[in-house]
Amino acid sequence: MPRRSSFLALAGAALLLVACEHPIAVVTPHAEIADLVFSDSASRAVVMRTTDNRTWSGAPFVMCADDVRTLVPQAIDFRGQSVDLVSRRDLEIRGESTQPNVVWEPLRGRGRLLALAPGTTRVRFLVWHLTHADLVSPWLEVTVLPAANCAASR
Amino acid sequence: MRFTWIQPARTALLALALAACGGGGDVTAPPADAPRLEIASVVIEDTGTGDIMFSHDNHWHGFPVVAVGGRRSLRVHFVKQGRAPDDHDMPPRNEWFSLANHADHSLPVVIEDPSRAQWEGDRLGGTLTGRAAGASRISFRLFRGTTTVWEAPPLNFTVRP
Repeated sequence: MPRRSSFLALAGAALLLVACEHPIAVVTPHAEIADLVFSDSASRAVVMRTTDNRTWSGAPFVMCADDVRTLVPQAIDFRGQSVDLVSRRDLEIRGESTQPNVVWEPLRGRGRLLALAPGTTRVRFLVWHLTHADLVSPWLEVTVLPAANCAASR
Repeated sequence: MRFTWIQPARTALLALALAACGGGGDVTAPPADAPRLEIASVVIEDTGTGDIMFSHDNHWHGFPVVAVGGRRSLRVHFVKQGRAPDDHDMPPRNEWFSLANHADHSLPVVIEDPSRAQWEGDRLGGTLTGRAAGASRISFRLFRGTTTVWEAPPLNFTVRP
């Protein structure tokens, strides 16, 4: 009987060691997102959105040089439900621009689109899930007007 | 002797499972020495719209959209070369290949919710027909004979009213 309990203790210790060497990975589910909607953070009005992640409404998106637009992204799944981008801390909305005159700065639950210089560019957004993109939006045309052109309307 | 019914029953079940899937097609027995196909991802091409959807590890980029009563003709291609996790662009066309020269392979396709859409096809592709507005998923599996050699992650699709 003592021999059996010793064997069990040894087996248990070996199991624990193996578990330490191979910790259980925390896997979070992919975000199954069909569309992205961006709203103005102040007015909450929809500024632009995708349809079936193929086309943008609200394009071209026009900004003035040196402008910063704070936008609230919303991800919509295939059943039309909103995916909570604030509590899903494994998700982040990233942005890519073909030209360096526009930059997307991701923040928790929102983001800032910075117009650094006049010109045109294309921007696309990614729902980033830890190591990869769960969704890549189509390219959005963005036009940045010279600040002088906008000064009159400010 | 008591278990002689098991083998026919297993065969019948396998036949039933294969018959339930679309796109099985006629499959010739694989030659014993034929090399195994290496698959990293599947690329679906909508021949009507030109839309491309492709699997990337265990998720997809892009999804089909079909109207109720509408049809989407989808061709299925495969890619051997895997992509880095942060490489989310479409695999280049010169890397695509189909199962045209792989008669010993088949492509059973299963719709998660068949009330939403129907699939009819073969190992080269098929037609997705919308039945009811909503969303569901498609599973593409690659069979060699009766053995699954690769399975794509489920692909979401939308049926528009």
